[in-house]
Amino acid sequence: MCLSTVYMDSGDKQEEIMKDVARIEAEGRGFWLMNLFGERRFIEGAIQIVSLMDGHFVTLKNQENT
Amino acid sequence: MGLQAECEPMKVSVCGKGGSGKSTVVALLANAIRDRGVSVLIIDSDESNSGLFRMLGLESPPVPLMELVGGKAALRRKMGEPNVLEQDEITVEAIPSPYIHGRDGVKLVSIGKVLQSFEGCACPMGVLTREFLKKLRLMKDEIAIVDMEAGVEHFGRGIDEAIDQVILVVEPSFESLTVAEKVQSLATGMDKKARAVLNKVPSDVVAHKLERELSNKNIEVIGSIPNDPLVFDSCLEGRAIDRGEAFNSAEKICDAVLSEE
Repeated sequence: MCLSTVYMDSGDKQEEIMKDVARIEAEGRGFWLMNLFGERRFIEGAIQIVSLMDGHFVTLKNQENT
Repeated sequence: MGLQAECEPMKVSVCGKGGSGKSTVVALLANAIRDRGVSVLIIDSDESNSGLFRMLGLESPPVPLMELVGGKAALRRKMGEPNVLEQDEITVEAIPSPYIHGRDGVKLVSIGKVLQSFEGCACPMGVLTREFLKKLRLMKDEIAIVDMEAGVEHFGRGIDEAIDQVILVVEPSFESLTVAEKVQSLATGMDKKARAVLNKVPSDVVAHKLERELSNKNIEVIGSIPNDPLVFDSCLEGRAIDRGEAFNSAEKICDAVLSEE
C-alpha cells in the first residue's frame, strides 16, 4: 500500500500521527500531512525514515529531540 | 421463489482469479437476492474492468467514489474539501446520486478505474474501498456485494477487514484452483471463511472433479454455475444476463449466502 502511516519518534516511543497519508508538504519547521479523505494536519519535526516498500511509513523526529 | 423472511445486513466479497467470472457471479447473485425482497448494493472494486454496470442492465456507470476525494489526478489540489466519506458511518441513502446508480432493488457504486498510462498505482482505490466498507452501515434487508479486483492483493491491503463472507469464484483451470487455495489461506488469516462458487462448468463430470479438488483443500462449494451460452452472449454484447440456466443456478448460492450466520 503506497499510502503511508506517519509516526513521531520521541525517543522512547513512536506515536502514530496519521494513517493513509497521500501527500506531505514541507513548510517551515515541519510538514503538512494530508490523507486521502481530506484530513490535514501540520506537525513540527524532521524526517528520519521514509520506508517506501516495507510497511509504507514515514518517521518524523521532533528537532528538539535530535 | 418467495420473499426472504428478514435478512440481517451483510457484506459479501466476491474474489478469484482474473477472468474466472467474478462480475458474472456478482450480477447473478445480486439478481437472486433482489428477487427475495432484499436490497443489494454492489461495490465495484475492480479498478480495471468497467463493464459491470452493463451486466446489471444500467445505461451508464455511477461517478466513481474516487471523485469524492478529487480523483487521483486532482488529489493534489483538491484534498482538504469535506465529503460524505469523512462521516463516521455511511448509509446507502447518504451516498449522493451521481455516485450511485440503481435499478429494481440493485444499486451500484464504483470505487474508481485506472484510465490512463502512467497515472500511478491503484493504492488510493484500495484505501478507499477498505474505508468505505468499514464505514458502510447497512440496514435490515440490505446486503452489500463487493466485486473485488482479481487475485489476492486485496487481502494484503486489508480490504476484506469489514467483510462478513468471502465467495471465491473458481473456473475449471489449475491456476484458478491454485488462487482458490491462496485465497482460503489469506481469508483464514483474517478469521474469515472462503466458500467457493464454481463457474463456467461444462459438465457434471468437471463439476465433481472441481468439487473433489476443492474438498482436498478444505474449501466448501456452495454452488455451481453452468457454462450457459446466455452468459456468453451477455458478456460478448455488453448487456444484462438473460434468465436461463445460469440465472437459475444462482438460487442455490443465494440460499447459502443468506443462511450463513
